Amino acid sequence: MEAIDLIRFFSDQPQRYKAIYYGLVGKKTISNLLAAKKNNYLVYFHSWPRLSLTTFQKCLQGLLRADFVAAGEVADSFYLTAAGQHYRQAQQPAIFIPSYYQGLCIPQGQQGIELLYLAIQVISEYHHGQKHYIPGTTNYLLQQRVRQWFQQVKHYPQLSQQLVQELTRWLTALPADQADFVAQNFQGYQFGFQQSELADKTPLSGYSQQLVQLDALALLLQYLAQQPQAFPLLGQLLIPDQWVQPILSYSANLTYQAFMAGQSLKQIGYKRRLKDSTIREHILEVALLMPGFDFEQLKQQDDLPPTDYFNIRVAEIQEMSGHERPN
Amino acid sequence: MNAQIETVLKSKFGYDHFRPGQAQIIQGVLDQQNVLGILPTGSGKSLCYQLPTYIQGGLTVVVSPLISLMQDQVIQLNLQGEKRVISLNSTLNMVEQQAILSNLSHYLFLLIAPETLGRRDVLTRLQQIGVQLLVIDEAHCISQWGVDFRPSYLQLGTIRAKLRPKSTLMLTATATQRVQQDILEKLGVSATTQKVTFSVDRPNIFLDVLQCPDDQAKVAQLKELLPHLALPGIIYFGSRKKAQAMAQIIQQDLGISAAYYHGALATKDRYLIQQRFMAHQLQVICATNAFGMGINKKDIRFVIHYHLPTNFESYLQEIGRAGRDGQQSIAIGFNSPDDYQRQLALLHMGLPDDTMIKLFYQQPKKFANTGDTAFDLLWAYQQNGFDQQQVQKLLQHKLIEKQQELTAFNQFIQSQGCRRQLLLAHFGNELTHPHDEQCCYRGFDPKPLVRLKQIGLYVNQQPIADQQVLATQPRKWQQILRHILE
Ligand SMILES: [Zn+2]
Repeated sequence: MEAIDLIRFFSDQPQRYKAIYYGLVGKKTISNLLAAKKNNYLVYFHSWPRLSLTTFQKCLQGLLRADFVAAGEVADSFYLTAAGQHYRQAQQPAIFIPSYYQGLCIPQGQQGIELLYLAIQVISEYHHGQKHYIPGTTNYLLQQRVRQWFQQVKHYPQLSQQLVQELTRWLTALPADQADFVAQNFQGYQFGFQQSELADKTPLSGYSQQLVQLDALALLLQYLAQQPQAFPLLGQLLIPDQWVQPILSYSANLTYQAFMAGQSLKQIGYKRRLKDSTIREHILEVALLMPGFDFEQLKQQDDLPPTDYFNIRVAEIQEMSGHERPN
Repeated sequence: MNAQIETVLKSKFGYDHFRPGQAQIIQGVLDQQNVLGILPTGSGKSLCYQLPTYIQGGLTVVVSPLISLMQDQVIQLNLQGEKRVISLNSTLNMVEQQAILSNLSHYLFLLIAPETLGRRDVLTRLQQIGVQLLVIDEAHCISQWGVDFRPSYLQLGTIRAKLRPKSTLMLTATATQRVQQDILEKLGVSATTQKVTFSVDRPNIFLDVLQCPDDQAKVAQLKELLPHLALPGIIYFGSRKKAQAMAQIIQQDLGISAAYYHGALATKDRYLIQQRFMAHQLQVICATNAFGMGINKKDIRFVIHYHLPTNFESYLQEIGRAGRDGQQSIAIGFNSPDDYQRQLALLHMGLPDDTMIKLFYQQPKKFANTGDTAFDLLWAYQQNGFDQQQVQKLLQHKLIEKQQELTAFNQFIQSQGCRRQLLLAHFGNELTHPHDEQCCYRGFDPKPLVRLKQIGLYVNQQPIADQQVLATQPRKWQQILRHILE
């Protein structure tokens, strides 16, 4: 983890550092979601699932030593100092901001990328009649998945031409730099760059390099869902339903549907045989994640005192939703 | 030797003849005997279990002490075009492990750590399928008299009894009589086992040592040698940093395609480098000792030790990667007066000291899975029923043994006599030919370039072809698609 990869998530407002960590690895709790929303890093949820807390903390200590961040009043909270802001400015080219990626909807993005690259490698080697090669991923389940897929598609007429067509359709839609970088990560017959060779040629940080690919994958998944007929090969490999999930959890969504149909929280809890507290968790999740949430409707039917945890949270979320700023 | 064996040797491995000893081991396995093979690295150890597997079918289980060793074996088999190989180890999550277990019957080779093999679910599944051949790689790890003792290997006796393989093949590069006896006893195979021992000599590798006053002199020496040394080759370093820096110098200043290789590289990079090295796109690998355990590249012409190892075993193993095709090759060691201190420091690495041992035994559970080599070792001891005093004694013994080995190895480095004779003597072998000009240089070689000419490894100029292959890999996505898919 490079300094810029952590600095990018801090601002002049103090925030709890652990919430950033939990967001990156994808620990979906109301308070982590809330912190992510408040500090504009909701889209990065799940984007670094293998990040270890130790690595993260070491990086933070580095920022502290360099005076890029300073401790806020609340315990374990930090904000960006003037020096830190300056550094962030200077390091702007190292930061990639995704356009299509929404981590909460693609929690297994890294694996999706690995799967895609392995499939490309397999077709490339097959096309060149090469049987003696090392697969680019050691992940067993992904290897199995690609093997299965290959059996399905290997008799497709002009297999590798068809794959070129599908990849072209996808990569053309990305900015040229992004498309080049994604393709440089492919592996195939007599082709492949080492991590260091890629890093030498790009100003992007290691994490940003991952985001570039996650973002591209998100676009591909979007295409696969919208125009399946144009992607007969990749559509069978990356089945959108398996890789993309709705932003709301299944249960929270049921609660939301009932709420929109005009039921009160108590009624919903009774009908769904769930505790009130669970229903309220759902409502908080909905309020956080659904842009058009009707706060007025909620206020009319709720009878809790204004000091209650739930109401404070709701007020907080409404306040944030009032002045959304782009990241 | 029947015709089928020879056919498989040719079709699967591309060889016309066996190396000394291979045929005997393979025949033993096919006759369903237990075999202890003591083979130097580079004599084709893995062929001894791979070939019988192709002939008799069924599952071959290979026990290996290190994940990197298992991965290297998988890579090697993949490169031979074999896909029915799988490694079951702790880097996989439970879902993956279960998936592998339920698909196990589709595989020919299972590489596994002793800890994993001892698990009940794994044993049960293997009993269902039946194990044809059980291979214990690095078998000397089972002996607490050896420097590489691994407590988890002690379970293998019980495991073997439960698995009841048709035959058991124990392989090791180096084992004294005492260790050999220990291997057989601990595995419970004493009575029936056939022993096959070979000389560790590799007569086609010239042994050379150069004296360099300091590090700068080493760099200069390397720059002088490489432009005239037959390629490809491996240069071993004691540190990752140095390996990395020198790879860059070789690439930029000498125009020879080089890469560095060490344990901190991403898996994808390790694979790419090995693949490129195999495909002649890379000529020189600057490596730490993490490189090459399973690498089966036959035409390596030189191994240079920029830093020499601390014992004969490592030295033999590393130079043994040269000249597997039987052609003339050379091992060149760089010796400098500062090296001894570095070697001494290495001896203590990974070994827990008394304070650590005490701390550990107060609350062993606290130190499970720390990822620290020293604590992991203690954990393994403790799990296998060793108490604090036993461990202390064992480790003291181990350190003394390591020190003795270093002393002996240093005598070899400093020697004014025939180094091959010393090397062989250490492993209990005798020189088969008297020392001559093709054998080794006695003392420190003042003119290595002359030596290269003398043994036919001198080149006037390195060929430029192929070196630019990597530089010309396309970077634009349209070109990349064309390159890999059209
Ligand atoms: Zn000699």
